[in-house]
Amino acid sequence: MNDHKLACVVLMLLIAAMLYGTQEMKARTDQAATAAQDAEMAAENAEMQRSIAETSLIALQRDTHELRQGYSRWASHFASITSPQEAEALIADAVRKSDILVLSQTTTVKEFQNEDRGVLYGVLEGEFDIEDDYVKTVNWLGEFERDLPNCRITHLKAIRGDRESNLRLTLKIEIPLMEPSLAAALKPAEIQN
Amino acid sequence: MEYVVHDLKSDRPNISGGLPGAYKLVPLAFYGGTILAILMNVFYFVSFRNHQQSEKSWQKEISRAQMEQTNLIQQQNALGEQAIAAGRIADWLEGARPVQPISVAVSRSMDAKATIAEFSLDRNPQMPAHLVMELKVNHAGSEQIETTREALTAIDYHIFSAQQVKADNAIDFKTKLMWNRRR
Repeated sequence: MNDHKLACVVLMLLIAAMLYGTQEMKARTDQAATAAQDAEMAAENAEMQRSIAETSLIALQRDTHELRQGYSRWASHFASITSPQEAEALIADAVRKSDILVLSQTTTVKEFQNEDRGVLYGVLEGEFDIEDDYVKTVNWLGEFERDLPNCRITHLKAIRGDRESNLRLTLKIEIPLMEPSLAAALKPAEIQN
Repeated sequence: MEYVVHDLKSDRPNISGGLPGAYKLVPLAFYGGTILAILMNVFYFVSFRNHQQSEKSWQKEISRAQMEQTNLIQQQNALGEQAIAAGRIADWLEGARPVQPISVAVSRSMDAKATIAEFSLDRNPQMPAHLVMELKVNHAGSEQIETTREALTAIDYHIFSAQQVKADNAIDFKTKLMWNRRR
């Protein structure tokens, strides 16, 4: 092989090397294009998921608006009673304030079980036997229900008292006890409307 | 002189012949290929960089969307928990409506001659919003019960499953009450 031919071979090798290099570059570019396209599709998908989550949140906000508004109005009443002692103190206050004659009074704590347990962990059950002037007794009942608006009267029996103007009232009540951790975390400002 | 110069030249007995015609295209192909390769590589490199930048920006979009989605889901969960608590509170309150207005409405509905012997209200433990009212009235008849029913309806209580037993100059009335806002 003479020098010219050798030079030709070298040139051809260089051409082949250039061809290979260009092909490699093209392959990398194609790979980058595919990766960019995949990323675009993934971004569109992520945006769609975000949009669905946003729509769900708006729907949930709309659907629960009334419920949560009621909650924000009532939460403070529930959060103020987290222990049986607090509930008993409120009952004692209500009785002392009106100076009504209480013949007997018993209280017991009833804790909710399993699925009933949630924001409320139990109730303070109270049983009262009251006898006093009719008007005073009825007014006391109204004030008691106003002062403890979340108190549930489960039984009420009214009969005539010993005196003609007296009313004898037997009451069974339930005062809800809120989970202390929830009550502590509950601040009216934190309740989303 | 010519002889001297000629003399200085070395003998080149093995000098090669010219390239065949087709081989002459090789250098041309080399020059053309080099220019083309440079142009194409520049083009591919620019495209490569653009695609890389594009991918990077889409990745940023993915991160942003995912972060926002996580945030929205967290808000959703918090809202859901609050709605559950609110539902529990609402259920409780449905069964905690004051009963004093009922007792006042019943006593005010009594005729001048009628006297209440016994009045009781009991909540249904399964449905605390439902109240069972029992009323024993002396010196009264069915008209008195009608008046009492009207008084209860006026304070938005729905009366159902009503029963009454009339005795001599007295009447026993038992009914279920459910608060039902009409306005």
